[in-house]
Amino acid sequence: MKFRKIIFSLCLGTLLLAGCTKDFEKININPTNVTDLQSNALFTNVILGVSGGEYEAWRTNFIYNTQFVQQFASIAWPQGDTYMFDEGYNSSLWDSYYGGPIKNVINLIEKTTGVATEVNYNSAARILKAFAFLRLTDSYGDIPYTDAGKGYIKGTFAPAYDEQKAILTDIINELDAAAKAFDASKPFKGDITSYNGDVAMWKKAAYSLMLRTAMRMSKKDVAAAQAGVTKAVAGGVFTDYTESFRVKHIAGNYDNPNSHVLGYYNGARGQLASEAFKFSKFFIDLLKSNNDPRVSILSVVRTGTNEDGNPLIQKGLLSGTDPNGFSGLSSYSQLRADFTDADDPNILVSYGQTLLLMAEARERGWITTSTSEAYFREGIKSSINQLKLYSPAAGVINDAVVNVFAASVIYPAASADRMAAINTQYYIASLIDGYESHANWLRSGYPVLTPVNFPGNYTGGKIPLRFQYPASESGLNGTNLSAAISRQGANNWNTNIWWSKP
Amino acid sequence: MLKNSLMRKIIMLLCCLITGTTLFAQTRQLTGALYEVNTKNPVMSATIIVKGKNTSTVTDADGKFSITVPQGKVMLMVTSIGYETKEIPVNANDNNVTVMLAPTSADLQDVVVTALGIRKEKKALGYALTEVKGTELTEARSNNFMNNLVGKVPGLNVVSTATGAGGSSRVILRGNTSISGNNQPLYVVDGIPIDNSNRGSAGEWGGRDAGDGIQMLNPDEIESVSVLKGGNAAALYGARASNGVILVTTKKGSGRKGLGIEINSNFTTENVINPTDWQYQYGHGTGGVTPTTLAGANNISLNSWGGKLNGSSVIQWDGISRPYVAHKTNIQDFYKTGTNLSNSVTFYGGSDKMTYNFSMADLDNKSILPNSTLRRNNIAMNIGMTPIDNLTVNVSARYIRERVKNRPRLSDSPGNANFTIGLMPTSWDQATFETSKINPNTGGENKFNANEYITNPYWAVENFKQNDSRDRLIGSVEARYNFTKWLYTRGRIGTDMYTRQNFEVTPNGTQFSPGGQINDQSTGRFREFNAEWLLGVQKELTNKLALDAFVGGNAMNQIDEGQSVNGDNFFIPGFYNVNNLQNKSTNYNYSQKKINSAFGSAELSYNKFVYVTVTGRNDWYSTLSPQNWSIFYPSVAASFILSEAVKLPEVVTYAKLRASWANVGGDRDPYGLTLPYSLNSNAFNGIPVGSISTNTIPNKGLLPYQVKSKEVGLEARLFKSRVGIDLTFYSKQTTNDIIQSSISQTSGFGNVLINVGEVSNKGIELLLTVTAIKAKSLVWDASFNMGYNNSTVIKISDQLVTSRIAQARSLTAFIDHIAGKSFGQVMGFDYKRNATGDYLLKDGLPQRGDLKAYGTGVAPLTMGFNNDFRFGNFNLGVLIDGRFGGYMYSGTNDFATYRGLSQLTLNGREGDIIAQGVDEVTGSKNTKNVTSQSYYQSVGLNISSEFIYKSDFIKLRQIIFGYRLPEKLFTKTPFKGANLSLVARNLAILKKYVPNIDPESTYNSGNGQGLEWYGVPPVRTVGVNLNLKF
Repeated sequence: MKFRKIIFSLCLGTLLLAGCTKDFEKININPTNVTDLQSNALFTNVILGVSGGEYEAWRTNFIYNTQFVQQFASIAWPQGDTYMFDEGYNSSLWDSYYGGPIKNVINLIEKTTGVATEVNYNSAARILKAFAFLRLTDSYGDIPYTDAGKGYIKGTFAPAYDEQKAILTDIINELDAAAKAFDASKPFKGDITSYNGDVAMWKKAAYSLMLRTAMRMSKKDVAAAQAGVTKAVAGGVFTDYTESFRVKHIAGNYDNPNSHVLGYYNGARGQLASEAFKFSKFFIDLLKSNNDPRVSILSVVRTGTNEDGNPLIQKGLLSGTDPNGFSGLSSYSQLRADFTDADDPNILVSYGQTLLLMAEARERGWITTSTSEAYFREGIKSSINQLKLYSPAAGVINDAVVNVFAASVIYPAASADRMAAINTQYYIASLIDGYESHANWLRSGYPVLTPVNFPGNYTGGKIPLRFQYPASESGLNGTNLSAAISRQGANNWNTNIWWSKP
Repeated sequence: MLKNSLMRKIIMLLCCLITGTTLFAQTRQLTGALYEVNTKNPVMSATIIVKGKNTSTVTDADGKFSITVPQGKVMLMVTSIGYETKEIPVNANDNNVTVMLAPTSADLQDVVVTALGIRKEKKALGYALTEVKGTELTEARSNNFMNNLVGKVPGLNVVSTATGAGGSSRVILRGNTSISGNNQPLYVVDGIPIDNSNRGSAGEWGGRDAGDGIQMLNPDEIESVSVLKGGNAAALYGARASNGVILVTTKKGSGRKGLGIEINSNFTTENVINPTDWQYQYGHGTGGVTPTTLAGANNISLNSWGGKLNGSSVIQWDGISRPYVAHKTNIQDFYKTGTNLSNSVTFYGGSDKMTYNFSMADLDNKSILPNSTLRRNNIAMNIGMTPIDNLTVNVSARYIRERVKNRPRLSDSPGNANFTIGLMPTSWDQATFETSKINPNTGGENKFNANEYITNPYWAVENFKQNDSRDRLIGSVEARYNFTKWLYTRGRIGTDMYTRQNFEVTPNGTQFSPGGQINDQSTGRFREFNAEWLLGVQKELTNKLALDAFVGGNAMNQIDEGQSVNGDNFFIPGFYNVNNLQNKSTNYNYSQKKINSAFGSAELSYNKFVYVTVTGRNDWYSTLSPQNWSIFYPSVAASFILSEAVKLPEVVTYAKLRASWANVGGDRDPYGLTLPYSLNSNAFNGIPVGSISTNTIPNKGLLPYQVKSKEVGLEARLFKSRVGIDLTFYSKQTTNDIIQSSISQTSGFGNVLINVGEVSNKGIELLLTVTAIKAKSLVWDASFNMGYNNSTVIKISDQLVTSRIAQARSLTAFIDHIAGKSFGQVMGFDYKRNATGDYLLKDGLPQRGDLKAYGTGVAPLTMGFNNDFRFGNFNLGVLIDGRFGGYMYSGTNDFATYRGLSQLTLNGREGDIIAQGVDEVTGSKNTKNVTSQSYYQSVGLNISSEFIYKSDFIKLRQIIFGYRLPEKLFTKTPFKGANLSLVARNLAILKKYVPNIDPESTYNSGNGQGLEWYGVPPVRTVGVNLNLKF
């Protein structure tokens, strides 16, 4: 009797333990975090991530890039105007992109590769990845590319840096492969770009981005550039400004990243935005000297909440203005609020930019269709028309004015002068996108800017050519960083990246 | 009568003859009492057995018992651990016996509660264990009874947050074990592990301390608290033992005649101790100038850089001109007299088949901070039953309801009344903040300074809203069955579960949040279930060799979940409802883990002077991957009673040597293995948006950290036990500590969790007890205890030699771990100096130099000195305690210097300062004079080393003066005893080095100790305690 009880007790105890780890693996999965998400939800997030956040929009884009190229100037945030180094600003694109969209896009590609029904997510992700890495390599030069974002997938905690040439070559290959793989019969949801799941449009975006990528090499590797341009044009680029590749935003939780910096953002930072970024004197003078009708659309002088677009009173702030003793900030022009609304689209690649690159490619003889002048004038028209995409309330420039203006812009005869004309228009067309404005200025050398030499600047009075690698990399990825620096040159703002090296 | 009795005897005889048993025997009720032969103290929990029968009972707290025995002469056997077993013949007509028990040997044989609730003789233990009786927690009580252990247990370090009612306490045993773990012990109530989570705390950006779990227990319910200080004592808890275990044993009923009732009432008042001694010569203003306009007064902010106080009429923050004089009592005037009323009633009693103990308690605490209150109700029940022979069943349940209103905001200024009161220029009267609180135009908070993030203190305590409630059930059922005299089994299931609701509002019209916010409206639910089983053997193998062993298992399941809503901008001002929010977001969290365990313990003793105990526990964790989830934790301990093995000199009454070694683990959180994704709480126009929701790479190979601990000790009693010594040396080494290591962001992630950290703790614990006077009229017992712990962070990770765990609001002082230094270094910026150490000045002003480590924020040395005097029916207890060797950064002093409030800033007010040092450019001795304001504003909030102090203190912690009413008063009443005590806590700070604050002030109970920033000032508690027994 007693021993039966003992045995029973023992069994009970053993039962308690045996078979007990059965549900352990199931338990250790957080029910509030899914272990997997549908590709469409991840895809939507990747689009938003590539469009960017306030963090790097404020720092890399507006404080640095747009002021390096003298589109904007600032008294409040003059570090870009005067080439002052700030570690956090310098690294903001790196930190945001690698920790956000790169991580998520690599993961999305990994989980959709080889899955037939997921092909459209896979292709679109590869295009977005190409866009993000092009922006990163334009900014820093050689960067972790092949191994990047694979901390979880491959356990790579310290990725090697790829040479920029290899990165651009791979981007072109990826864009071509991605464009070709789209399949309109397969699911494609969650597309919050302007294409709304239209694979034909995504293909055009891929080849338009390929054109941009190929043109980056125009100085350094003519053969590769020409081959890339040829392939892009053959694949089919945009044919109308409404086809421009852009990300939709909605006010509230998914604001346009630039709206938090330039716009009348209804939040904690609203007061900062109102006067922080002014048009530079160079930019306003450039528009005025051409009688560009955009001057009265884009720029306003703000009094309270009233915006005055009268072209006669528009004036830009001289880049490198000493804030000491400066006054009268409100009399300087700034961007009209209509272009920085929280629900404005964020244009990644525009038809205007594409046409102007075609003008250059035609001028270089890399394509043979039409004429460079035709591309040039269409490019100007499209660049003006694309402002309609922001739905400005203050009216748009009517077609007649656009046509008259586009026809009136001088298109010089000499090829070198044409390069200046084309790329100056590209510079105006790329306003707000400081990354692209800076990259194309670096590539083409146009428009010719007068550098500022402010006391204590970081470059010896030269417009920065690139951003330097973040300080965190030296401790955490030192060996690979050293290899990249020895290949590319000193880790500062004055070192040319591969495609801009003479 | 006689006839009747005769008849009974006949019937009984007949029955015996027929059945051959005494089944229908007539019985009688026998009562009695047990006392220790020397001290005449009652002996509780002793077992009374009727020889030749199966009936038994145990004595109650007063040594009383009641038992059913057969008619006629019987033999009682009385056994109790630590006492000689005694057989008592009881005559047929004797219905009340008094028994005197002698201890088994000359020493006092303590029986203590050890791991898994197993009672053992203290002399068998191979490790240090300190037991604190419940009576020490109830007289001069704290809302959180753990605060009553301060100064009483060597090796125990308790730090309580500088907050109002119901704040959390940080309890550390033998130093911090882990670089990033929570380092606090596991709490176990009657065998049931209970949750001690701190569900909200203040950091450098402010916040409220939401209290901890252990504070909810009612000290009146506690019989004893066993402190298992390290892995050695706690090894049987395996994975959860790394920080030690605190075992709480609650009061049980006892077999006694009639119903016992105990009533305890405690009433205390709380008064602020104003620790400040500011300058009272200069008032509000800046640049030596007092404001002349309202705009000026508002823009100057809380600066005390004005002109000399002269009694003239000066415009103040609210536009009203008042005399420009010093108000030295703003702190005393703002904080009210708090009260604390605590009542409990306990019913207890039972028979030999059943015992019970019911208690109810109500605690009503009004903090010194206006509108901040705590109300707690505890209902508890313990029932013990012996339904059949050899089976005992214990059922225990306690329900706790706690409601707290307006926990104070601490640290940073938004909504923190303590900040504004603490930094207010002396020329202002705090009462003006009440009279001019409301802006008549907006109805909101009246702006009083340029920085809207500094809040009017009355707006903060009257308009900010916060309330939370916790409803908790802790219950268990335990059954023990004795198969034979030497073989038993025990099973227990238990749970700790609670729901917590929190509601926190930043009102509309607050300067920094005009639209208002619901900071949090949440409901959380915590549940932990444990089922434990064991099979044990207690057998004398030979007449010298004895075995006490068991094997068993435990299954633990813990679930924690919660929902919350927060948002901002109310549509309708003043209507604080989530549906009234213009923007809101919701959150749901869930976490579950299981640990299954198998364990065993074997204690072998030889001739009652050598004891060797070996334990082992294997844990299976749900939080680890299958190849790693089984981990074994062993321990071995030995005890040698020297005084019984060899003949020692006469003066040595008792001597024991002990040694032990253990390897235990540190728990870890769930969900660290797989890549988590989450959906954003807001969709994009109906389109779901989701992403990887971590910046830390899940590490499938991660393990709990390992703690190897060793200790040796000596216990001795000398001079007929008048002097006692208990000395322990220990060392514990933490390896494989879990570190969040930074990795290249280009990997997509910022961190990975790895097992690489190492921490070492070594220390000494000493307890000295002396009965200094032992006369008929006066007994004086003194005890001195000391714990010294030397911690070293040996390794953080391969890449990191420092790791930041906290920073102060000034962002100029930090708590960092530095490899090679002790845990949690207080870091501050030194003055900029040249090679010879002179200050390098720029334009006559000092400059910030290097960041340096000034010492640990965790005091390595803690001491307590307790004196008990007993004379007649009076007793007096005096507790003095101190902490030494730690450092702290005082933000209060730093900010007060920056704002010109500290006495330091009187220097150079009239005439300037020519600072000591050399000019940075010329290298020559400084001759440039600067104003006091510009000098101290270069030092304040900048050169933080100036405000790092030794946090040492000695405090008069507690005085109890009690009177026990003579028993002869009660002979004709239902009363059995009454005690009246005058009690006081935190009476005085006898010694400290940091000015203007309490050196114990801290704003959270996390790992980053050593930072102070405008908490609630210290509080002195004085009151009475009345204890009645029926």
